[in-house]
Amino acid sequence: MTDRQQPNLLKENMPGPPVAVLAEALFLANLMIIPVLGFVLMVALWWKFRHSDSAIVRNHLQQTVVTSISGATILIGVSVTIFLLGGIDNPVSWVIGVLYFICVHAALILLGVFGLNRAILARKWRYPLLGPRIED
Amino acid sequence: MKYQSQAVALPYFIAAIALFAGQVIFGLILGTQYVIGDFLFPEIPFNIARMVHTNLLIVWLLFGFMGAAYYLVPEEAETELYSPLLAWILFWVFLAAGVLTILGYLFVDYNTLATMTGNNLLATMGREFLEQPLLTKIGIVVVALAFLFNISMTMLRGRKTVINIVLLIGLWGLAIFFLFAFYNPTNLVMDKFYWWWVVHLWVEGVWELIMAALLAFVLIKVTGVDREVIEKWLYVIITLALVTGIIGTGHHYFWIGTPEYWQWWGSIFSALEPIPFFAMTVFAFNMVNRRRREHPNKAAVLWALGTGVMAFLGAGVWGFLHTLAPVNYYTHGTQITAAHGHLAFYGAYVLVVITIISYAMPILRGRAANSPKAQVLEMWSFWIMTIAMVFITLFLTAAGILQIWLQRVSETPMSFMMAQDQVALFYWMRVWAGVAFFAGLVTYVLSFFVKGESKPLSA
Repeated sequence: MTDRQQPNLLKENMPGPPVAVLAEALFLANLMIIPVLGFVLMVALWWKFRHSDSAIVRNHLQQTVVTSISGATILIGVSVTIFLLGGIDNPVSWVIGVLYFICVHAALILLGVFGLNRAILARKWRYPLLGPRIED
Repeated sequence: MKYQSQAVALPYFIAAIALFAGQVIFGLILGTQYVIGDFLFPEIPFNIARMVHTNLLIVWLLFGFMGAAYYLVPEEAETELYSPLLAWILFWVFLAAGVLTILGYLFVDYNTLATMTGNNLLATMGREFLEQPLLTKIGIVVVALAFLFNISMTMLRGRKTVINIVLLIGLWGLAIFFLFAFYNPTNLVMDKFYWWWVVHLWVEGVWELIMAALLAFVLIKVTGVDREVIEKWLYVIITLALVTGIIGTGHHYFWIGTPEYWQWWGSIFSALEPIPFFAMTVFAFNMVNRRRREHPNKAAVLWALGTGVMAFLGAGVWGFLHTLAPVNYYTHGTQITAAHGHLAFYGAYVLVVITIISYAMPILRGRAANSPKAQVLEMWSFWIMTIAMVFITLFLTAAGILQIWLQRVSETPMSFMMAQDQVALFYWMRVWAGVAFFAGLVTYVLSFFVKGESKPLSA
C-alpha cells in the first residue's frame, strides 16, 4: 500500500488510506465505546500493517498505539494517584479527580478527532506531547 | 445576497442578539442570587429571574432559527421567499408576544398572570421551560405554522436540496413536538413523561437536525467542498442523532415513576448520544481542512469549528458524564445537570446561531465579509465567551460533585440548603466567569460597529 499523490479533497469522501482511518477510529473507540477491546484491535492492526509501504499508514498506526499507552498512563495513573493521595473518602479527591479525568479524557478525544481528520485527508499527524516524533 | 427576500433575516438576527443579551443579564442576576440570596428581592425573585433566563434562551434561539431559515431556504431553493410580507408580520407578532410575556413575568404575579391569560380554561402553565401563558403558547403555534407555511412553500417551488429538507424536517418537528406543551395530565408521572417530549425531543432530537443543516450550509459556503461530500456527512449525522436521541429520552425517565426498563433503554441509547455530536466535530474540521482557498470571513469559520467542538464537549461529554442510570442515581438534579445544560446549549445552539449570523450578517449588510478589524474583535468575543463558558461549566461541575458528596454520599448527609452553603465558593467563581462571558458578549456586539475596509460582495 503506497501513498497516492494529491487527492481531490473537494470531491472525494475519504481520500486517506483506510488502515490509517481505522487506526484513528479504533483510538477513539477505545476512548469512547469499547475501552481495552479497542486498544487490543488497534495493536493487532499495528502488528499486521506496521511494515506497510504507506508512510501515512505507518504514521497513524504508530501514533495511535503509542498515544494510547502514554495517554492511558496519564489519564488513569494520575487519577489513581489523586485518590491514593487524597483518600477515597475525601470529597476533595472526588472534585479534583473527576474534573481531571473528564478534562484529560475529553482532550484525548479531541486530539483523536484531529488525528482521524488528518487520516481521512491522507495527511500525517503527531499527537502533541504524547505521540512519538514523526519519522522522516 | 442572492435573493432580495433574504433580507427579512436581518431583523430576526438583531432581535436574537438583543434577547441573548437579556438572557445573559438575567443569568448574571441569578448567579448573584445564588451567593447573595436577597439580591434584587423582592423586585426580581429567583424563580422569576430563572424563568426569564430560560424563556429568553428559547425565544432568542427560535428567532435565530427563523432568521437562519429565511436566509438559507431561498438561497438553497434558488428562489425568492414565498411571502416576505408574512415574514415581517410574524417578526413583529413574535417579538411583541415574547416581550409582553417577559414583561408579564416581571410585573404581574404569576398566579394572576395565569388567571388573566386563560390558564383556567386549559392549564398549561407552571412547568419548567413551558411557563408561558396559554395565549403565548397559542401565539407560538400560530407563528410557527405561518412560518413553516412560508418556508415550505418557498422550498416546494424551488430546488429541493438535502440541507433544505433536513432543516425543514427539523423545523416541522420543532412545531409538532411543541404541541405536547398543551397536554398536561393531572398524573404527575404522565405529565413529566410527555413534558420531555417537548424538552428532550427538541434539544436532543429535532434541533440537532436544524443545527446540522445550518452547519452544513455554512461549511459549503466557506470551504467550497463539493455538496455531495457534505450531504453524505449530513445523512450520517441526522441518522445518528435520531437513532440515539429518540429512545435516549429514556435517560429522563429513570426516577420519575416510569417502569424500570427505562433505566436500561435510557442508559444504552443516551450513552450513544455523544456520537452524532462527535461526528459533527469531525465533519466541521474535515470540511474546513479540505478547503483550497481561504474564505474572507474567517470569523464564521471559527464559529463553525467552535460549534463542533463545544457541542461535543457540552452535549456529548458532559451529557455522558451523568447519563448512565447508576451514576444518575447520585447526580440527578444537581449542579452537574446545570453544568451540562450551560455548555450544551452554548456549544450546540448558541454557537450554531452565531455561526449563521456571522456568515450571513455581512452579506445582508452588502459585503462578503466584515473588515479584518471587525473580524478580529469578533474572534476575540468567541474566545472570551467560550473560555468563560468552559469555566462556568467547570465551576458548576465542581459544585455538583461536592454537592453530591455532601448531600447523597456522606455518612452524615446534609440538607439541600446546608450543602448549598458549602459550595458557595464555586458559585462565586461562576459569577465572575459569568461577568467575563458578558464582557465577551459586549465585545461581540461591538464588533458590528467597527468600521474598516471590508471585502465587497462579488457580482
